[in-house]
Amino acid sequence: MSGNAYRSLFGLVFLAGLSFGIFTASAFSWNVPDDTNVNSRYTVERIDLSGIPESKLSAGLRKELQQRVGEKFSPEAFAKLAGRVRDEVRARLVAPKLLRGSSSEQIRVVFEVSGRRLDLTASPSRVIYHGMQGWSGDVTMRLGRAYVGAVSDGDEYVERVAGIKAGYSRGFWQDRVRPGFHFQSMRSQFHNSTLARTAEPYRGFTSFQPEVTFTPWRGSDREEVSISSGLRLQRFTIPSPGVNREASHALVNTLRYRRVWGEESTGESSTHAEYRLRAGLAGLGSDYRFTRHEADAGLDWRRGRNLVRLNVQGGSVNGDAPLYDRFAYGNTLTLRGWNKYRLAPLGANKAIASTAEVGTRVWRQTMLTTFFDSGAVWNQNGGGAVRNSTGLGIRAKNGFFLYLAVPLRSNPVEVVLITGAYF
Amino acid sequence: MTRRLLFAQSAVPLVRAMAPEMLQLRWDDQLLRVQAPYLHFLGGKSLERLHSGAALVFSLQLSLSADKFTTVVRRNVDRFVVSFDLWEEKFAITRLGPGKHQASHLSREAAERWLFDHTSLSVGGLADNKPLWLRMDLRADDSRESAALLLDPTVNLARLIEWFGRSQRGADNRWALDKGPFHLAELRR
Repeated sequence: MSGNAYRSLFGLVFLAGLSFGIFTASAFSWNVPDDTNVNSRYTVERIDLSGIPESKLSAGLRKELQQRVGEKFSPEAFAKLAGRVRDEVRARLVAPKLLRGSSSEQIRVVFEVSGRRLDLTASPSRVIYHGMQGWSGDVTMRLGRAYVGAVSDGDEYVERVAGIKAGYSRGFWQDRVRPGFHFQSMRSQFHNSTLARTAEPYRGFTSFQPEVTFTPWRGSDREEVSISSGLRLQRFTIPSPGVNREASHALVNTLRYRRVWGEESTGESSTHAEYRLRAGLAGLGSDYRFTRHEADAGLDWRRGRNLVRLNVQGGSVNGDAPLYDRFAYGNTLTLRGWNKYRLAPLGANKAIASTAEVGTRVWRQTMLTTFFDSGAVWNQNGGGAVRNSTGLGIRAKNGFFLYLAVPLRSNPVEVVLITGAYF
Repeated sequence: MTRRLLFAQSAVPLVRAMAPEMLQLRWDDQLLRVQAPYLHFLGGKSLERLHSGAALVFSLQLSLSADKFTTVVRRNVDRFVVSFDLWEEKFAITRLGPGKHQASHLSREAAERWLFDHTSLSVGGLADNKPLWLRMDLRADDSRESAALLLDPTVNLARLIEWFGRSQRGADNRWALDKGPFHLAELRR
C-alpha cells in the first residue's frame, strides 16, 4: 500500500472516529422510568431555560413546554423535551434540573443549556476529502463574540488557501443590528494546471473586512431576512515587486432569507435564498475593477425517514477580478465528481450549478442518499457545456457524509470519493 | 533485612486489625449477604445530581472466588435507582428487575444500607470449609449508552456481567471492596 493510500486510510478512520464521537457524545442526562423518580409525584409549576433566551426555540416547542405546566413531573417526557431543546438550539448538553416551587407539592424545571455546539451558519467548521483535490480543513473556535480559526481549503477557490482567520461581532437591539469585522491571512498555492496557463499571480493575501448585518424582518417561527454590508480590504503578496496588482478592495453585500419549520422529532425542513454582490471599485483604491454577482437558493425537506434536497446557485463576474473571486465549481458541493481544474483551471466568469438529492434513513441517524448534479462553467458569452454527475452516498445527521460520485461523460467511468464532516 | 523493615512488616497485621471491617458478610439461608457500613456512595457529584432532581442508576456486582479471583464460582448483578425528594429531603430507592422492591423516606445512610440489604449471592452447594474470596463492585452510571442496558427489564445476568467487565466509559463513580479468605462455616448465621 502506498504512502498516499495509508494517509487516505488514516483520514477515513479519523473521520469515522470523529463522527462516532460526535454522535455518541452524551447529549443530555437520560432519565429513568417515571415511577422510579420520587419527584414524579409533584406538579410542574413553571419551566425555565437557562443559558439561552426562550425566543431561540420554535413556537411549537415553546407551546409544548407550556402544556407541561400544571401536570405531574414526568422524567421520561422531560428527558425527551431536553433532547429536542438540544437539537433546536444546537447545544451540546441540555440537562433538566429540578427546584422547589413556590408552594409545597410544586416544582420548577430548569433546562440548563451548556456547551453550545458550533453554529454551522456562522462558523462552518469542516474536514473534507475530495478524491481529486485532496484534504481541506476549516476549524473555527468561538470565544464568546469572537472567533479564531485555521484553514487549509483546496475546495472552494481556484487556489488552495491556508492560514488563519479571526473575527468579532456583537448584536444590538435584539440582534437587529450586528457590526463586526473579519480578518484573514492566507498563503495561496496554485495548481499546476493553473500555473500552466498563467504566471503565479500572488502568493497570499491578507484581508480585513468590517461589516454590519441588519435584520429588518423576523417571522414568528425561525424566519428572517438579513442584509450585510461591508468593505473588504484585501492586499495580495505578489511574487514580482514591480507589478502593481496588490490591492483588491471591494464592497461586499449580502441579502439573505432563511426559514426553518417543523421540528427535529417529526422532520425539520428549511429553505434559504441568498444574493451576494462584490464590487471592486477604482474609488476604493483597488487595482482590480470588477463586479461579482452570485445567487444561491435551496430547500431541505425532511419528513419521517426521508429527505429531499434541492439547490441551485450561479453567478457572473464582470470586469477584471482576481482568481480568488472567480468561480471554481466542481468541488465537494457543486458538480460533484468533476474536477474544477479540468473544467476551468483559471476559474470561470460565469457559472451555474444545481443539485437534487433524495435520501432515506437506513440506520439510526444515517441516511442513504442518491444525487444528480448538473451545471456549467464558462468564460465567453454563449454559455458552456452542460456537465452532469450522479452518485450514491451516506449522510449522518450530525454532519458526516461520504459520497461516491461519477461524472457523466463518454470517457471510461471514473468514481470519485468525497467524504468529510461538518461540525 | 534491616530492623526498620522487620518492624514495618510486623506492623501491617496490626494496622489491618485496627481498620474498620469494610465488607461485612452474613450467611442467610443459602444466601450470602453483604454490608459496607463505612462506604458512603451517596456523596460528591452523585449527591449533587440527586439534589438537582435526577435519578441515578447504581449497579452492584458480587463475585465469589475459590482461588483469589483467578476464576469466579458465583456472581450476581443488581440494579438500583436512587432519587431524592426535593420537598421532604429524603431518599427513595428502587431495585429493578424481577421482584421489584421500593422504599422511600429514607435518610442517606438508610438508603445506602437498603441497597446492600437487597442484594445477595446464592452459595448453595458450596463446601463450607473451603477458603473463599468475595469482591463487591458498585458503580453509578449517568450515560445514555449504559441506560439503555441497565433500564432494560428483560436484560439477563450474562449481559450485565459482560457490561460490568467492559471499560468504564461514562461511569461517574466506582467503588470496589474485597474480602477473603474466609470460610462459609465461620460466618454468622
